[in-house]
Amino acid sequence: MASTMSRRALLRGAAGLLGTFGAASLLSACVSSQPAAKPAESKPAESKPAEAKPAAPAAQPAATTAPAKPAEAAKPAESKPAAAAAPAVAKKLSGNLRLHVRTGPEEDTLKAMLPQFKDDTGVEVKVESFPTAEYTTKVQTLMAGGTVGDVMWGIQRSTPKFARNKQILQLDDLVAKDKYDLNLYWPGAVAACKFDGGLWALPYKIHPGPAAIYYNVQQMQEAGVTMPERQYASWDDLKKNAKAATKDGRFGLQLNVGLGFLNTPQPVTMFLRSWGTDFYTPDGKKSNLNDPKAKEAIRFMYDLMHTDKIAVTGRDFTEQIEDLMVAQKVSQVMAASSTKSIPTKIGGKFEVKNLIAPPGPAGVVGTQAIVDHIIISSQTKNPDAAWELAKFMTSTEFGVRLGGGTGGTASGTTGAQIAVFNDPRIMANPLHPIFIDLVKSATAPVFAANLREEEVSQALHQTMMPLWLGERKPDDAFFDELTKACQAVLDQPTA
Amino acid sequence: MSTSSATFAAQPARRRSSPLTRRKAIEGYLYISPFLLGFLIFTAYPLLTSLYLSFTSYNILSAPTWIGLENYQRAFTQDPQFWASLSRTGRYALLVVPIGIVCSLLAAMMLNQGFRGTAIFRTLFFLPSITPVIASVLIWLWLLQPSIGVVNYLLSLIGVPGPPWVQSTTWAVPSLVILSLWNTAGGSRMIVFLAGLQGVPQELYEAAHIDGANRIQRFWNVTVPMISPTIFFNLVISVIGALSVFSVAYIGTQGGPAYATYFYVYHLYITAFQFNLMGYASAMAWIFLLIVLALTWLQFWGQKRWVFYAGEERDSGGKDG
Repeated sequence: MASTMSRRALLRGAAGLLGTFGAASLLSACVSSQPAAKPAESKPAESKPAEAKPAAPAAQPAATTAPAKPAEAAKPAESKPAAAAAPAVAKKLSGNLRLHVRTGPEEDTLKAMLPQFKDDTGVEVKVESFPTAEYTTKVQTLMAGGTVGDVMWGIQRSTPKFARNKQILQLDDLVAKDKYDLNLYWPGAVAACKFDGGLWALPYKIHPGPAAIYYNVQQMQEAGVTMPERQYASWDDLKKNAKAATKDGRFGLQLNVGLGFLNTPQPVTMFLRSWGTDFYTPDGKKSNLNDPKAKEAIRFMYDLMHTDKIAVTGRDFTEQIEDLMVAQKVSQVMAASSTKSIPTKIGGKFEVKNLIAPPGPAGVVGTQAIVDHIIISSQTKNPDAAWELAKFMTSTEFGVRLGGGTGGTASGTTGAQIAVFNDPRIMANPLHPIFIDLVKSATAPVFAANLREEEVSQALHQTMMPLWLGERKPDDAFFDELTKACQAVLDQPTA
Repeated sequence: MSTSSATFAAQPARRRSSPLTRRKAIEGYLYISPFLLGFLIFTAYPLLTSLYLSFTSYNILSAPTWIGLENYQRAFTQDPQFWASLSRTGRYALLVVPIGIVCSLLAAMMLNQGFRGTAIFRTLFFLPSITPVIASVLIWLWLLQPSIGVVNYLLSLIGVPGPPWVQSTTWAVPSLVILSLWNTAGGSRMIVFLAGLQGVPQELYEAAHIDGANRIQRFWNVTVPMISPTIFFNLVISVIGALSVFSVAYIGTQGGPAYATYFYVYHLYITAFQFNLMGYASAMAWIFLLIVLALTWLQFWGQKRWVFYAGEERDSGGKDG
């Protein structure tokens, strides 16, 4: 029997089928390959992650950055020469490790360095890299499926979640067994690896948050201003220079805001700490955004944009903080250490120098220890080799390579060892030395006690945007709304 | 037992056990097994699992905990972005669907005129739809950049101050509509319209012409009814596509500014993959499925009144003889 299909049936069928598949794909996307995570059976440490509490701030935000002299700040005596500090693994181990890292320059650095690790230890490392935007999702999915690698790069705010869910090893026992000296790293970096009093990561990279001012030398000269040598003495000075540079459709200053919701807490915290408060209360349970000092700090940021009209407003925010400076539309940019690589983007069109941001009314620059982590999976079958790899990846030589000290295309943010910051190859970049002072004073940021940092960031970012756009004024009603939005997240149960 | 009854009883058994039938059945299953296995493993299983997860608290890193209807309750009563994102998505769909369908139809009609170089134009119109979304969004972001973007520069040449586009709570959604139309107006929707237009019998136009119908009358009285099944098909697909808007918001605006482009699926994605609230995101996905099903059913119900299928009789109409 010949069967025919009418046009009606065909179109109906196709519409129905596509609709079903569209919806089905969406539903399927919410499911990882295996719903129940399988924490490994190994219990390397005596910690009780289930009872874990959020990291307490390593210190109060007394991020004093007294304008130190370069020689005093660098303290080369504290650092070992690069060759001596290069990772030398005494133990001969064996086996294989799987390592997760981000795709990009860091992966390139790894590929250049791993043969040495293989030679030293006999351990073969298989690198599995994922793009930054989807990195954490991939790793979490692998954890859920019980197929995560042995060692991985991690972000600061994720580590407490992994620790709490027993997905990563607590490192205190390994440190003690190996008599490993954590003083090799900046104190803020180590503090930023602690959660509930335990050490859960080794610090891979560190930066002090957006506490540096990068400027276009030629534009500032044209504006007829004399730039300070190492640090702005006050915000008034900075405003005066920015005002002089604001002309012909060009802005005198760009704050580090509007770069995506996960980045928003950094610049806000920087200003809040400079004004003598912090984003959260020390226990991470309450938002401080209604604190008079916080209001003053945020109003100051608003005024730079909409009252003084010297800073880039929300209308002109771009994807990358350097974009407008590269386009010569901004004379000064407030940014962190990754912008040290800006000379590679401007092709010699102008010269860039940097200095430390001015202290706020609290007499300090609101630095914070923003740290990338190297963590070890609790599912690893080879914890000794994993530990050696973690040490290797946080070593001086590795950190120097990460900072682009060998002329590579790395980000500009260096490894977290003190010796890295003083290494001649890193010091050769004239944009680097100020970061020694900044990182020295940086303390670990406080995170949301209920581990909902991303949700808080989203609420903060979206609620503050109308302020940057000039669509809202920083009046009390605004601060009530902002505080309510963030506190609503903090009042939810632990994620 | 009589012979006839024995034959009657044996017949079904013989049918079941026929080696040829069995072989054919096995072959059939083998032929469809790649799809069947793929569907069961990659669609049916995750789909059912997500239904289960929607009743749990699940953060990916530890086992799910049964919480009953809490996620659904949270969506309807506690999550401020649930209704807000839904309403935002609805408003986006109300803009992008009609404009998109009209633009695609106009493009298809233009290409159906048989002008010289039609093949080149067809390719040019289709090109944006095969451009990766991420590339086109990033290019458009630069074009629409308020201070150094080309669009505002061109507007300034004719004395029009350009708006802040994606950087404004007012202009963000219209910007994404423009961006989305650039990607889709000349894509598969246009091709489907083109096929529909080419299927309209010429004699109908000739008859209308003889009856004195002008171009507009021919369009409304011949073209539109004849391609109404195609319009309906495109409408269903476009509504589903518009409600599922994600990529442009994810790449272009990250849901901002100030939640202006925080669409439902973006909210769902962020909830699942940034906030790790998999259980709640699953509940959101199932609510979304029900909404899409309801809207699609509504369209199927409504199409009886305006879609004309050639060769079929209308329920209410008789033969005019």
